[in-house]
Amino acid sequence: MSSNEKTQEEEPKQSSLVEKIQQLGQSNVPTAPDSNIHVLSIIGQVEGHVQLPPQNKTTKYEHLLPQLIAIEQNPKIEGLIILLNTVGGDVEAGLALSEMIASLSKPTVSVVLGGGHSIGVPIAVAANTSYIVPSATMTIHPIRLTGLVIGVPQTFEYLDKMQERVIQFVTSHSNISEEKFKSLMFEKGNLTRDIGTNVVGKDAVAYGLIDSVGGVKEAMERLNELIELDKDSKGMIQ
Amino acid sequence: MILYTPLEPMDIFEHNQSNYTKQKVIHFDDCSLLVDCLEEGNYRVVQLLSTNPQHFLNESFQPGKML
Repeated sequence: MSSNEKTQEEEPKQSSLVEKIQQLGQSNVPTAPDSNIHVLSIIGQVEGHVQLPPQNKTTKYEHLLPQLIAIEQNPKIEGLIILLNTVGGDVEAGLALSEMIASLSKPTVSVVLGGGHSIGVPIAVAANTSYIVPSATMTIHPIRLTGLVIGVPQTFEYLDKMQERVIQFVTSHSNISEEKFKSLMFEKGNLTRDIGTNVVGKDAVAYGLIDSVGGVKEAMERLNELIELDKDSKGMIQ
Repeated sequence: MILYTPLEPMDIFEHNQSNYTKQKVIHFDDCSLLVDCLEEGNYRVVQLLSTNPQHFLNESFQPGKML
């Protein structure tokens, strides 16, 4: 009997909560605190001016550019970690992403997992510190074009300039020399019937392309270190 | 049919236009989601487009979930 009374007493409490949900459309659900580190994953193909069919896994640069602005603008976000597993893609879209990452004021760390090929190379070196896992590879090769070409000499000139932009970006954001990068790019005998080089984990570090070998732990430690340094330098100005 | 060409299959075969319209990006709970539009008017999550790692812990955003 007394237990029945008790449940009747509890009912109004519950119904007020139900009412609250009905009125406000929500109840307060405890959530995990927002992370001060955001993650930008660059996966599949870097998609640029041409939309690829849906069976391709793509990273659309028009999605990432506003996210990068949001990261720059949001004071709660203190650092960015970039995860790369890409086969390459549109050169100008990739360069746009690289320049955006390189010009962020917040600390950035990139990790190459699996593969960071072709245009993945400038994106990887764009971060303040870059890491590569020992099993990851990066293919460095000349820029190519598929499809119909109108005006071959002009297109050739244009491609040559585009390649120069990639080389300039990579050499100015990493420790690799222009000569070394170009020699890797035009190397023969590494990719069966193609020119270029497939650089694996430790070699990428040895060439000065990537800062060090490491995975998530190293990347997070470095990012937290950079965040602390960033805070200290801002504190000194004030 | 055997093809011997350096061209991409995409350049040879006409691809189905409906494949492009099937997927779209929607905003749901402060997040952008890439979804498949299903016949009944439902959406199936394909990919979560967010940089906030906490969003990836939200079960309703897991790929394959219906919205």
